[in-house]
Amino acid sequence: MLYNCHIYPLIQGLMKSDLYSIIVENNRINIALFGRWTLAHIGAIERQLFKDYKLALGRKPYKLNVIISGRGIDIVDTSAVLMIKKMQIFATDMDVELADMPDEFNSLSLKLADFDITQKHPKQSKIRGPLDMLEAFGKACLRSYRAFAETPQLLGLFLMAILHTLRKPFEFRFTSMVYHIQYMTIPAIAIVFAVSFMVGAVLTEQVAWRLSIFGAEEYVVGFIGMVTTRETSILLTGMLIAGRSSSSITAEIGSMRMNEEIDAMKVIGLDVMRFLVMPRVMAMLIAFPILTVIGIFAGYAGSAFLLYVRYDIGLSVFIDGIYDGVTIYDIGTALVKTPFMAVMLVLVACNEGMKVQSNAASLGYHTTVSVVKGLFLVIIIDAIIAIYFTQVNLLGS
Amino acid sequence: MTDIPANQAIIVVENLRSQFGTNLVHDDLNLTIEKGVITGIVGGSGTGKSVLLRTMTGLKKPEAGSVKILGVNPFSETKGGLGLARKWGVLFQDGALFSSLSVLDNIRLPMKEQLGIHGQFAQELAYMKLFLVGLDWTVGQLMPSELSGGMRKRVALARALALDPEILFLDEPTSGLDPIGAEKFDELLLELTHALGISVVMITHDLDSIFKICGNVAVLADGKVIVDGKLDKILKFDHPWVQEYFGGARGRQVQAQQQNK
Repeated sequence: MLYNCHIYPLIQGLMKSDLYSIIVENNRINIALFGRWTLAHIGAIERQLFKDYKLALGRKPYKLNVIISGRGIDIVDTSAVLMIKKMQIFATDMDVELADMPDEFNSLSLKLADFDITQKHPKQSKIRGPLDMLEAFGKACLRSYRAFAETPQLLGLFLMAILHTLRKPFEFRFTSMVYHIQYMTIPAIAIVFAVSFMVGAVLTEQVAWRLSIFGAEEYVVGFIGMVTTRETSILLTGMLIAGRSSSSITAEIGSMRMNEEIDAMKVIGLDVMRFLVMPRVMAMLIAFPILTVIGIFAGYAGSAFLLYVRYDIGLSVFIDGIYDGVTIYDIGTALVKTPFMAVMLVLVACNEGMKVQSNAASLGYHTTVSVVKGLFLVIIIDAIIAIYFTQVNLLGS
Repeated sequence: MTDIPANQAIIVVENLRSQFGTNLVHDDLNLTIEKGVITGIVGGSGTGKSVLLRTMTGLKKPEAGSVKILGVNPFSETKGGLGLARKWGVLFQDGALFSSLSVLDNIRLPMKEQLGIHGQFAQELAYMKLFLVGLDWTVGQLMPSELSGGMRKRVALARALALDPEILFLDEPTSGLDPIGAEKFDELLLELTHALGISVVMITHDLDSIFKICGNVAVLADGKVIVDGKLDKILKFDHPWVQEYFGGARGRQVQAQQQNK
């Protein structure tokens, strides 16, 4: 064989790979394939082979014959067929001849004879220009508007469900409600207690440390009692419920939707609002105040614990302070917020669950949205009601 | 495609015992599956066909006994055990496509993660697999939720074939398809396994599939493989379930159809 001096780098290229060698003669390119032409091996040399192949084809300005010999091939799979196809197509204006290919290769390429790899496939990722960003912004605005606008609709549907239940109270799913009360309350008690206890203790420490400069640390009891009762406990409980129950409701209803259970309910003629939403709302209306009261007393406990340990203020002094500083109206102000929060949290969570489509990512997305909306609602509702009470000077503020 | 010659054992299950709590599913089950054949696993509901498939694919650890796939224990965490993922493809009953990835990405995923093949070559390979399972290339851009039941099975088959496996495990491949779709799927399987030289293990209830494409059949009953081998041998086997299954009205009808062809 006549070796052209130009092919020297190619020989080095082939030394690196056990799968092929490319030899350029005067007007012929001999490509010999060896070994295991399977996906795992081809994937590793695919780029290098094409680089060498291009280099070999680019050598000569005049017409070349390409001969691909498969004598040395042990085994092949479909990726080998694709690879050879690509090599044939790449050398468009040349004669590409296949020689000594194994039988398996021939039967595979027969199967793939009609496969057209030159088909123009659409690019998946497109370049984003400023107009796309504007479009995305507009869409985001529309989305938030719709999210806001659907709230009254939700409340309306819920009211209809309540009216229906009032007319036909026996259709209310009492067992389901009891189950949800249990599920929303009992496993949550420990976390509500722990968080309220710690926040109560930390708040007390912050306030008592400053008041102790004036030797007035005993006044801390009334102050902390007030803040714990009216604000911190309800906020903390609300946030914990938004994290715990909102997410679980959305995930539950969302996966029911993915499993076509919601569609099945509709077909059977069950109203989703009455069947799924009502029991959860009612359960939350009961669970929320229970947890709030637990949170309030856990806050007291944290406060009392810290005052006893750090400032040597006994339990009896603390209880007297609470009696003086906190009235039943303060607990009332806290509890009056709970139904609003309970209804909104559950409605939003159910609504997000209903929006889940049949893919895993959308379940994650809507669960996140549900929790974020829930947290936001808890704070908004708390603020609105607190401002209202201050303005009308109601309930002994 | 393998170094194992044809008609040699590629899967050997010995003295397998599987149980859930006190519920014994398999008791001293033995099964050998030959290379290059489509082996159908049949049995009544609750005889542990799916459990057997899950055991063979390394998803459920058996309580006792051994499983060897291509001579390797699928439960070992060694290089060989983990490397089996490159040598088998599994088609789950509902496809189990990754719902957040497009069809094309579903097929490309094993290539990219197992072999590091990406870019244009991976895309061309993925389109080739779509072609192999008889789907148009436009399907590549769709999301799994946009596919019909038959298409989902085909895409799942394309993903199972992504790495050109030596063994294909199929869990009821034709369930949920209409008779024409099921027949086409059977033909596709037959053609592909013929062209690609793949060994297939399939769970099936479909008598048409059993008569048309299964070279070997293994019958599960009472926690054991009561009989396995060529179909003629199975049909002659004296067991009430086997006789009822193959000798019932549907069974006779399908047999008659197959003989007429």
